[in-house]
Amino acid sequence: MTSAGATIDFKNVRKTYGKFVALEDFSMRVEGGEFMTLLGASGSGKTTALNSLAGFVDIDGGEILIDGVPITKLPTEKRDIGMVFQNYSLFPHRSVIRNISFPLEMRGVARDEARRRSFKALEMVRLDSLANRMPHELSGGQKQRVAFARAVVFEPRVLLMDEPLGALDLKLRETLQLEIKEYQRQIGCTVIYVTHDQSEALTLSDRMAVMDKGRVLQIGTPEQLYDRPQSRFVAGFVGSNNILKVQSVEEGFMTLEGLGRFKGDGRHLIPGGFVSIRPELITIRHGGSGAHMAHLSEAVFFGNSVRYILRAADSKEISAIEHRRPGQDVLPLGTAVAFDLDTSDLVPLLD
Amino acid sequence: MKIRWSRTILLLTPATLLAAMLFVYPVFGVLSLTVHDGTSFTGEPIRQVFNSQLSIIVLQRTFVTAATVTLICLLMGYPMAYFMAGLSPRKRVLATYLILLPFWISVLIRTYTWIILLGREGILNKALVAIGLTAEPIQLLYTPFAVHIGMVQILLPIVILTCLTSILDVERDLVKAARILGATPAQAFWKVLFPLSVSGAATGGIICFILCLGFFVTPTLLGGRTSLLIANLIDLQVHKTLKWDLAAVMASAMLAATFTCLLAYWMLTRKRAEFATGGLAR
Repeated sequence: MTSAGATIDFKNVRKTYGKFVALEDFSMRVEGGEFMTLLGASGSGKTTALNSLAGFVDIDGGEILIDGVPITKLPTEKRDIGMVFQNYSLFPHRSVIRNISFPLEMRGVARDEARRRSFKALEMVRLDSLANRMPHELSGGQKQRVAFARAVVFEPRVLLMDEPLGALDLKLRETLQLEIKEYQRQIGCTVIYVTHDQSEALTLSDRMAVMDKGRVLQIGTPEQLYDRPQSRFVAGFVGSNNILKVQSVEEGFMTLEGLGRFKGDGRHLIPGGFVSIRPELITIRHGGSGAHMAHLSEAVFFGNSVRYILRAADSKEISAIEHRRPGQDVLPLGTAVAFDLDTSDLVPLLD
Repeated sequence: MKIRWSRTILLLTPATLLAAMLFVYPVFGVLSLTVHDGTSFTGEPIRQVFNSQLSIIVLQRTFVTAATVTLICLLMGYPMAYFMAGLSPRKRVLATYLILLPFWISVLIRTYTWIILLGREGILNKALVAIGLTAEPIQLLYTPFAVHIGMVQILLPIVILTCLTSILDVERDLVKAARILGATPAQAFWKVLFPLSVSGAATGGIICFILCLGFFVTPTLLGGRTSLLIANLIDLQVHKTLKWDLAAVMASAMLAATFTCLLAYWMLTRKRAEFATGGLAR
């Protein structure tokens, strides 16, 4: 069960519902075999983008191409796309094996051949023992695996996944994330995956696009989006982050609003502009004294790390994550600590 | 939750008393008339009814009429419901109001309307003669045709609305899933939407069938001698011939038929609930 993934091009796609603009000048290229995630809050247009590729919504402008061929005039069933839905959407009146063979049946594959291929797909998701169960007899994770097998059994070159793990609990979600990634590598199809869960996007994607108000704000590898967010929205949406305002930049020094003067090069920063810095890049010195002092106003224990909220002298808050060794106690609230940051870690944000 | 018995009894008593007085007691009265003549047990009424050709014919006719009307209602109602399910919610509400509109008019008046439409001098006959399809007005009123059309008109809204509910109960994404997996709109309908909504439509059909069995006004006003239904015959035995025991046997037969239908209805809805809740209802 392999298929060379197809390239997908969204070109200036526009979709409105009355006054609500769901997609505005939406352009994106997904390479063959790539795992692309659309990340955004609800109403950001990510599901509309997926639905317009699937043919569930008619777009108002622009064009969508699969392998360079325009598909917006093709009816849904002719697009040859696999899809996994958030609520599984297994046919309740069909057994597991007959759910999986449905796409083959629709393509006129002979019964024996369809059965053989369906079993192979079911083996891939390791549920071959449940072939004759009805969907309502399955657990959530099993349903999602069956839905996945059904979506890839006909070897589509494009697979769409619309928040496929949204209804599952965290532990199962993490297991299935790994499985999905593994199956995709085996099959080789192009995947467009929609989620509002940024950690899921970081885990799964080859590349990811952060969407807001019907537009792509930034597109890149998970590392690029994590390390170099371009806007305040992306900086705040992907991972946890400190967003700070640059007050002034002098030779060899710079001042961050509410935090004070830091030694270091600030030539890449603009006074009055915003910067972000990850909590794990803020260093804390326990009990010591230094140029920058703060009080702990909150501490969250994660096991392998502790996240502290530091309140600086003029009440500006900044969060810091500290890796923790066994036996190391979480500092009591109110403790005075010294903190520091490397100004070259500050990422300038465009807005 | 702990049931507070005193309150439960207090709340249920009035309705229970009323039902016992006006329903349970008379029903047992009727049932006892079928096997008891006031002094001793007897099989005579049952034997008489089932030996009488008239009552057999009318019983048969009642079931056939009910089945035919139900079938017509389903064949007309399901497509209508399917159309309504495709409307935007706002338009669907409007359509529902339009369908319920006839309920604001009494059954009697709606039935009399058919007399005006179907009579010898009625609009339909005048139109048929005017366009030359027939030279003479044809007999429409007081025929089985008139009874069927009158019953369909009254029962159709109920069937449309139950079909609509069963279609709307099918998760929309299932049809989308079928389409993206390669089904044409027609295949998506026959392979997914129809099998999943048909049992709901069938429950609508059962309700319709049960209501048909008891129809009285429509066959009385629109039917001739040859389209009397069981309710008319019971009425005749009660009011004209005063053979209450025979009337009781017929009424009990209808009661049994209704309970059989209700049993089928209950089994169907249970199966539907199982689908809808993923087996949690079991």
